[in-house]
Amino acid sequence: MLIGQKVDFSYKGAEYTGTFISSSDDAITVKLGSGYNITLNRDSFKVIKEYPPESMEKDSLTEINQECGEDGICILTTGGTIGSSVDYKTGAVKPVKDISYLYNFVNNIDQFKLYHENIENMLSENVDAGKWLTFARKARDAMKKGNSVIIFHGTDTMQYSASALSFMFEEQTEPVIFTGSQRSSDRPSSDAFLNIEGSIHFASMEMGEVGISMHTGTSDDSVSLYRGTRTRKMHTSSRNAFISIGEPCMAKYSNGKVSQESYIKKPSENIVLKDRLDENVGLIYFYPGMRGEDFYNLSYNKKAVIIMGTGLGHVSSGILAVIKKLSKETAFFMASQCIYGNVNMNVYSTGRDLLDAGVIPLGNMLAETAMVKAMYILGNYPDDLNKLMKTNMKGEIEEIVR
Amino acid sequence: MKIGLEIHFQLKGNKLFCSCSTEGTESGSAFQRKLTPVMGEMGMVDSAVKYENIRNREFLYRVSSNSCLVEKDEEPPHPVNTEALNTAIAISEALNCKILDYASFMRKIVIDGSNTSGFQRTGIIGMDGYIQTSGGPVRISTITLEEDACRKISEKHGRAEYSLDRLGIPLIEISTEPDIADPEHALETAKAIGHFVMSMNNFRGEVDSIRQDVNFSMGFGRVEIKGVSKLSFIKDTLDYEIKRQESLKEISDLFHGKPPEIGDFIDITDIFNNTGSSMIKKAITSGKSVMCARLPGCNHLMKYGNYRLGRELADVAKNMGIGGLMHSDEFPAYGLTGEELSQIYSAARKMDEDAVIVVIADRDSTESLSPLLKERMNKIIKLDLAETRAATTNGETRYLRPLAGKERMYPETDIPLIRITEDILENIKSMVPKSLDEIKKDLIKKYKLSSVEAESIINNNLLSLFMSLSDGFKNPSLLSRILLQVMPEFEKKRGTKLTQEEIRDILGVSISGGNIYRRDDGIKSIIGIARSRGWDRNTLELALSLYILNAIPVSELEKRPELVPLNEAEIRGIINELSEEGQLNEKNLIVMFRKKTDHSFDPRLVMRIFTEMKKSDKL
Repeated sequence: MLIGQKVDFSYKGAEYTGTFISSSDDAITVKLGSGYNITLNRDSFKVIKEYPPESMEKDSLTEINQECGEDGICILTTGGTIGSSVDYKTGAVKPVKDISYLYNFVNNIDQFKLYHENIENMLSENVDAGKWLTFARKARDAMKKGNSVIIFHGTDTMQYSASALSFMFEEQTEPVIFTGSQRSSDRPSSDAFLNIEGSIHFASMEMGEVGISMHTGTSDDSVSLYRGTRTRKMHTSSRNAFISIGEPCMAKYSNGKVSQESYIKKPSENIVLKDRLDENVGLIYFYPGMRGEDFYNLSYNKKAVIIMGTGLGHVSSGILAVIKKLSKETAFFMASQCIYGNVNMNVYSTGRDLLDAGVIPLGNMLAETAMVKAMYILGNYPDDLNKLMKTNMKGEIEEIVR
Repeated sequence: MKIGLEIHFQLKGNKLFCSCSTEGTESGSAFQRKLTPVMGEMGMVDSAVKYENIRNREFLYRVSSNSCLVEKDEEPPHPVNTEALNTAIAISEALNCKILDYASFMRKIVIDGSNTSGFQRTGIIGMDGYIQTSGGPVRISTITLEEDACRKISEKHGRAEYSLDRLGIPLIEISTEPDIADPEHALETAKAIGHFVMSMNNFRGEVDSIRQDVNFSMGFGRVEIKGVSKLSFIKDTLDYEIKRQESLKEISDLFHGKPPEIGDFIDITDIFNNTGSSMIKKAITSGKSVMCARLPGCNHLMKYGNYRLGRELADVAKNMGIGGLMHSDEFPAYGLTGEELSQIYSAARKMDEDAVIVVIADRDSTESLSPLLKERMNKIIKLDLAETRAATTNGETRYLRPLAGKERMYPETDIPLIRITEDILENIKSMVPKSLDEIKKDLIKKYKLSSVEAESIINNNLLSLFMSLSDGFKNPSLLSRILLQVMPEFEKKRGTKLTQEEIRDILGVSISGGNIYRRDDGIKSIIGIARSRGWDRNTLELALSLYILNAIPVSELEKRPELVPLNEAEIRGIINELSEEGQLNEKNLIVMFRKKTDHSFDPRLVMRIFTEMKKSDKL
């Protein structure tokens, strides 16, 4: 039987008509006339009649993958929940081909010139430094034509990608806005529609930065723009999972209007993209009883390691010994597992010992951001690693660390 | 005539896809959402779904104590509630259905806001069964297990308000084929299905726990009537719908199936600059316009005799949030003067045979209303009456939306398939409810009740209470008398129903079962006191009377002197007093005696003593 083929069958003595959907080793799924799918054991399902397969209706949605035009907003899709839909026949997740249905409900959508280019179709856990470079180069190409840029991205690692582009674009002429959704866009309740609406309005601002456009709260009444380097996904599933850590959001969108909430950098005259990243960087989460050899293996041969220490920035004395051993080859930086607040290694003796061993505290910088930043600095300014890590470049750190 | 039923009933315990309780109260917080029509799995947007979107509404959800992130649509569903699943399987067995090898859940798109997700999760458990009725078997097409929707609190100004308390309550839907012959038969079928439902231990049993949808067709398309709240309304609702369709058939015949063209709306706000109608004045002040349109040839069809074309059109306006649609058949009304009316009619260019409709709304709404009115008029005159209607609380129906199609169903990918194993089926056997006939026979045999008593217990929904009590109580016929006669009689005298707490005081238990002599907190019940005191039936009934009618607390009942039955000497004394006061005979004895004393007494003993005293000439 072919997927979508009409079939008469019997089950436990009664006869039915349905559409074949799928089968596994044990079971067969058919769709009844009522629209319900039912799944039956293979051996209790008897085919009575197979109808000739209908000429499969052509997918009316032909793939739209235009190059970005000029002076509009270029939407780059990379996959993730927002740009995917379930193929109900096979159960596979496919990229949405025509994304216009995602934003056609936006009021006054005609006033925006929107282009769409699909550059990837991946779950965001599979995004890596190589992909950040691709995203950045595509964004640069779009900006060169006078477009601001919206990137549809899976939410899981959006904060890493946004940080990477924040650092790599030393100067930018247009805003680059990441957006995504926590509920897939094939659900009527999806947050995608409002998040995109917000991102379109944020992309129309005077702004030379990278931001993240996601729901402000659980209600469908406001979207916030968060700074790419200071944002974290703080909930596995809720709409308001994204939040700026320790600072207000950059702007809010509500009822068709954008309001600025904190400092936003103006656009530059030129684009400066530093598209080199050195991936030889580690991110280590310290835990009680962590074995020195495990820490050693994770850090060995790395150019830089970001430690997520406890509290104000601590690790056990056993780990301290390993750091001392490796600190000639590897630069160690300290961020906190607490997520909120500053690292301060002057309060307790452990902290002071770590400072003596050469560990550099990173203030209130998020550990994930720090890791991406280290890749960028090692790729472009390897000699200034220690100094630049402590310097505020893209709003990633409050400069209280001297 | 073809009639089919869809009966929905709620289960109590936990919700279907999370561990929240089915019972809860409001918590005070709220959030707001919108819903967007999306494509079904075949790439089409369902017509019912599209229609809702035209309404472009906002939804406000009130958070209840029995809700979590699942109800807020902020978290994927948890695994299915197995107790609810088992109940659905048991009901399917009882109604002779084929149980599917797997339970698989679908998303049924519903964007009227009643589900935060924009869809209802629903799965078929059993198919292809039947139920016996006096008119022959009525086939059951499917039994589904689904989540209940939010409870609607209000709807105004394009914003609907819902509570999350009902969302996710397990709901079993039993759908019949259109095998039902007439409204009477529909009522019987619903009752028969209702019996199975109510005999489940976890049937929720609240006011709104059973809802019926009625599918009806008399040749002009299938009408789905949603939410017939009471069994007794099924017949009224169907009778109303038959009349409605008959009258629309007459109207269609008058036009020979060729729909009249509704004119465009004309702004007539200026006519009312100095109007005396406070309603219109208020609307104009709030920025609304008064608009009218001509309906050629519709004079005396809008609301005249059996004709109600006006209401058919008003329903469309109402669904768009436009409060009133007035028409010429009801004029003069709403405080309109004759002068204003003639101005309206001349603006609309009304001829004698025409009708005029008037709406008060903002211009944009009226603009989107116009094509919908034309579409509805076309459908009606072409007698394509298929649609979804809502049952009203007075046994009528009104237009809700187009029929939903299969385009709105797609798989719930967040819930894995659940295999219905042989083990599950075996375990469920003891849960399968018995048919009414079987239960009646059991009652008669086990408790030696009369056939009438057995039937009354079943018909008055007292079965589960009786069963839970009878095992702990030695005298089933007294129990049946208390349940069927004594308690209802006191309820009637008092004018209010007994509360759950009162039933607990009297019978020791709530419906959940247990010891009849003590409440579950250990305090003696009235029945318990009766046993330890050796009260006879009359004393017990007097005690119940004191408790129910005079609000004497249970703890004081034992101390009441009138509950100590009169002894022979006391009875003799009263009889003596009575005979001195006047004529006393066997016929008036007990009545006179009762008037004389508050105390309990055994009438047979009184009669015996009276006869003895008479014989021995002591009177």
